[in-house]
Amino acid sequence: MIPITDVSPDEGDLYAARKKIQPRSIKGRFNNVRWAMVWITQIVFYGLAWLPWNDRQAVLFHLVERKFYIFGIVLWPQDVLFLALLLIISALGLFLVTAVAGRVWCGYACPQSVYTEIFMWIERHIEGDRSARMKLDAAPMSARKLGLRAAKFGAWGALALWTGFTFVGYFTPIRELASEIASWSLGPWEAFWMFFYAAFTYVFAGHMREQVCKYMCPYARFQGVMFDPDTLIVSYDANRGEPRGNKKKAREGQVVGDCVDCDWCVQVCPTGIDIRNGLQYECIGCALCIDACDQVMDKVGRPRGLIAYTTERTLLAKKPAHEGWREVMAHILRPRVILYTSLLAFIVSGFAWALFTRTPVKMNVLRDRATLAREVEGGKIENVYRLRIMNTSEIARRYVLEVEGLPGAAIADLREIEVEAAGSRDIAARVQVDADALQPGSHEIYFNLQAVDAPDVRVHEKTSFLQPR
Amino acid sequence: MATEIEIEEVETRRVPGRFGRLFALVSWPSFLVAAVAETVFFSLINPRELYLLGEPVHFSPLATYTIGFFGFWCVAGASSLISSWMAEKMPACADRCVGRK
Ligand code: SF4
Ligand code: SF4
Repeated sequence: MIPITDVSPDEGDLYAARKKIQPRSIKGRFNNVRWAMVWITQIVFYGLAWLPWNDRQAVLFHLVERKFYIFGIVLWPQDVLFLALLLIISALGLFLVTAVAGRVWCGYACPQSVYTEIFMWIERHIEGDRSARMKLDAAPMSARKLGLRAAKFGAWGALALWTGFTFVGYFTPIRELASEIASWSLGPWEAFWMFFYAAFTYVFAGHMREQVCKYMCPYARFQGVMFDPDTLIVSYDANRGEPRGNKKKAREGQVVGDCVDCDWCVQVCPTGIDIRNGLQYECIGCALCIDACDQVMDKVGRPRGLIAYTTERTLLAKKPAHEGWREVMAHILRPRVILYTSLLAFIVSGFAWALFTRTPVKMNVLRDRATLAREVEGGKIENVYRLRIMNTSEIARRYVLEVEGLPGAAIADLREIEVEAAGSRDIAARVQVDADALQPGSHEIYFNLQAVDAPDVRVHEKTSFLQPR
Repeated sequence: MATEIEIEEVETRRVPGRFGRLFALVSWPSFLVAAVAETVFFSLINPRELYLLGEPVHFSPLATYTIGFFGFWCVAGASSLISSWMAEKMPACADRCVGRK
């Protein structure tokens, strides 16, 4: 007989539990900070795109023109170094903040948290509080449920579309975009990105929520590397809280800790974890469980801080959170923090220095490949160059062009070149040299470009001059 | 003065299944990598100066950026997909493994 083994796939693997988290809303200090951050980040995001500056959009990464406008600064593709520096600065900044204060970025500023919060706010105002939402989830489909769902998805959709529109508005001028939409003549690619980003926001903030942080975000996984025993973490004071239980129901003589086991800290948690199990990578450090537990402690008449911002060192020293603050402050200046801070200070000052001392004009020189060296009237040899002159300043400028490096070299039809503010111009320059003055072959030659109105605005570019045999 | 606080069982975790896990492991990191690659590539190369099969590219710059982005995403995604598939197939780490088991 052949033994029969069950090889059907483990159902739990393919169709795992998908119970939605319906967090309880909570008021409190940290919730206020969270909302303040929502307001600040979103006023900046939705508003900045509309801010004008020198007759143009203040912050615009103009993809078609290939120019980045950031208030008074205009960056060109040649300035890619600044972009790289900016990335390094952001990364270092994140390292520093994480080392000192843990996941404050996740809890308060990450777009994923911020949009989830806004989407939940909408949800709460349409479908009701936590228990109402859980009832609604469990209820069979009815006209009321359909109506509430439609209202919620509609509101989410509208917000997501506005977000998508604003996002695209940072890459093509937002006012043009708005008038294109109004006149129903939006370009297909702009429309595509608008809907793409809207869908992205909708799905991430409306449906995936904590799963993005728990399963998709790389930062959540490698934050452990940046943590040390002095990093601020949200944690539960087990010494004080355990054994948890209800004081009233406790039997005579039974010792009960301060935790009344009310589960509020779990119910408010947007990632659905129980902070009493210790530090978990799922914890986004939003501190809502602190707000919740503080309220419970107030109600049962115990000091706050059963769940609090503290550090591993303080926890090990078995100090209650409110006394641990001195410990925390005493260890703020530690080698890791000093290293990150000094690196950051160094790069930021280098960045600022490079930005403010950069010459507001650039020139690319290419020898014209179509016309090689040729002989022209008067026994001269002529090379033709294509020059692109980029005025990165905010005023229109006139420049004079000169050549040097070869005896008797001169530019034919020399004239002043005018370039508009933050604009560029392509010109052809014909350089002529006496045929007898040079050996055949390639010779170094330099172009000097000098602004007429400002002596320090000048560039010097090397190229080669070809003398045929 | 102590108020009775209701006690309620909560079961809140959503755990992705195999496909969900694969989606999370593949789509998102490759998206981030594609965004970086796109920025670096197009800050160095002007879409108007690209050649496609020997012909100058005649798409609009936005179209080129978009195609470029999804191209990078696909390539990075393919790499992530292979890596995660291999990681799944990798035999469990033996005792002598360096680092975490
Ligand atoms: S909110 Fe505080 S008292 Fe309630 S279960 Fe959580 S830790 Fe215990
Ligand atoms: S455990 Fe507390 S701090 Fe961490 S995510 Fe949950 S509610 Fe926020």
